Amino acid sequence: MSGTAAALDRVASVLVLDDDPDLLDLVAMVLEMEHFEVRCAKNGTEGLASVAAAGPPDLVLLDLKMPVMDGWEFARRFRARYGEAAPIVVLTAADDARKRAAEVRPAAWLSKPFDIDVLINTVQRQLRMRSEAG
Amino acid sequence: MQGGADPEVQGKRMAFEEAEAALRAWMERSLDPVVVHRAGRVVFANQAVAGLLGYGSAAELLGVSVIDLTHPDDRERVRARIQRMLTHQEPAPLVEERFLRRDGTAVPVDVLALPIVFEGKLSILVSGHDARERKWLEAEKQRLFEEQARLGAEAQRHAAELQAILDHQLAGLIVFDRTGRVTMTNLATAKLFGSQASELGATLEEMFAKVRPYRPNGQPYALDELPSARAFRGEQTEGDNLTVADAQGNDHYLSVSASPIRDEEGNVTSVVSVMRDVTEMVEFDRLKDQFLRVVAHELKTPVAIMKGYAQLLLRSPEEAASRRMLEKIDRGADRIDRIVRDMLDLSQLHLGNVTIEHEKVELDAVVDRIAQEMARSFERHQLKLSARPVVVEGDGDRLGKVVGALIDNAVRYSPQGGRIEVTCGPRRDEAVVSVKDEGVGIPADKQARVFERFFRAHTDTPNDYGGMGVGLYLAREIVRRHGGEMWFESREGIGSVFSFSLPLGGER
Repeated sequence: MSGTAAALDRVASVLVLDDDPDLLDLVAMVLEMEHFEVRCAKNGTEGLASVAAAGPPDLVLLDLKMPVMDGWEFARRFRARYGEAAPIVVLTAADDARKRAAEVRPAAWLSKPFDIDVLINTVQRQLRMRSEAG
Repeated sequence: MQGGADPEVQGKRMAFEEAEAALRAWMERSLDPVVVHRAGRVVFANQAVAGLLGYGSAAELLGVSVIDLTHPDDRERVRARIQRMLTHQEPAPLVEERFLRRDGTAVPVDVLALPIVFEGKLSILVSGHDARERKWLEAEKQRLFEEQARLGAEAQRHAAELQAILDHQLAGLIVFDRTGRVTMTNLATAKLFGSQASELGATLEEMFAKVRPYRPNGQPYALDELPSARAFRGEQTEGDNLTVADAQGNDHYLSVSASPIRDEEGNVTSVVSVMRDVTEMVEFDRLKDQFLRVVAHELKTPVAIMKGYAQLLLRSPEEAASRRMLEKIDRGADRIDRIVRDMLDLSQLHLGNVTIEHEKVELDAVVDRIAQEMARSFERHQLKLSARPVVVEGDGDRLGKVVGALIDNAVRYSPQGGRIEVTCGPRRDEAVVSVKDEGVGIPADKQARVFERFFRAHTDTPNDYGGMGVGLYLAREIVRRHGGEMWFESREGIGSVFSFSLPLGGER
């Protein structure tokens, strides 16, 4: 049983955006094993549709380079519509990951490939900070 | 004679005889040949004639036929001249005639002839001048003239050949004289700058005003920074990078060299500038780096997938054999990841857009962490670590990679094992890190190239333990971008010490 979910009194939801289905599956499996509610989107447009349908998640895991609508545009529109409703954690393969990620002003960033322990720790830490702040 | 009664006639006769005696005396002494003939026979000849025609004395010529003394081909003309003179009582113009010497050879003589009264009878005086010298001088003059014409034609041909050779060169060439005007140029130059800008007689200033070259970073060149301008100041320049736009507005990257040419006193008399259009090379290099970057980027997601699923499986209870296999997959993915990151750094460094963080870095802590981490997978090596506190300013992750690359090399090239000695600490006003191994060392003849991109000292030798040949290049580039330097000492069969220094970054 995850401490984070307990701290939130309910199952925390994470929206994962990545255009690679295998990677999307991996992240979803990892987070589900940690008892998160996972929503998946293959690009920014799908991501925004998911948010519109189910409301903002507790955290967004965002790939930057995606077709149709990329991560930068998603972040801009998400913030414009929902403000700081959820922390955004950038997950990118960009070689200048840190610099590119900074353009989105993320709560945290991970560069691909990543250790799944690091992924889990990052997500949990962000949610904990959010719940403590809130 | 009529008894000599008339004193007036007597006086005239005496005057005449005196005049004739004077003429004879002058003719005898004349350095030019003089002959008097009458009725076709020689009645007077001087020593100069005897000498010219090969006779022992002038007396031997007396009574000789004038026609016999004349070259057979000229005899008709001489007869006609004599006839004309006698008929019209007037001198003949200067002509060249050939006389026969006693030995039968011909000698050309410039002759003047006039009818005179000699010994009281109508005779013909012939005064000559040996024409051989004049003819030789004329021939020599002609020869010199022809030689000059030939040399001129040859020089012109050589110039045309040289121009053709220059025009077939791919490199542009401009020669400026001491006043800075173009005295020689070629087709490649005209193509680069437009034929107007680089035409003969144009000055460096005029060319500069039309061409407006700039640096690879977009900064315009100042006139006196141009390689040619520097060469005028006596500098030898090589490989300066200039970018110019051609007549169609396309950018060309030039590698320009300029040399002063000096006279014996050392003054610069002209400047030769050679420029190579390296646009295609630069473009190709850029495409290669871009390709490298794309490939590396494309590899990242599949590596992340492999690594992620292997780690995911490791989280569930598995039997020991499966765990080992999954760990190997995870480590394999890590290795691909390192190669991918090296490729990315390589392309980014070369494209010049690498970002270096500027943070306070506790270098000893970085060295300690990396060395300890790597020592965990040592099988035959022992780590000896001595890190004294030192702080630098820079990019901790990248400096960690530099240390990692040096330790990786030390391990890689000491396959029999041995000690890996890592030291870190302040030295004077620098931080210095060294990694020493007891490995195969680097052959002396390969040492100069160790830091070159893609250079591998042990390629195809028994000591080839793999790697891309970029580790040391990247390591040194990163150190240099921190304002530091990297160096090494190595002896074949003994081992190597690689070191780098960084400026100190203040207090901890």
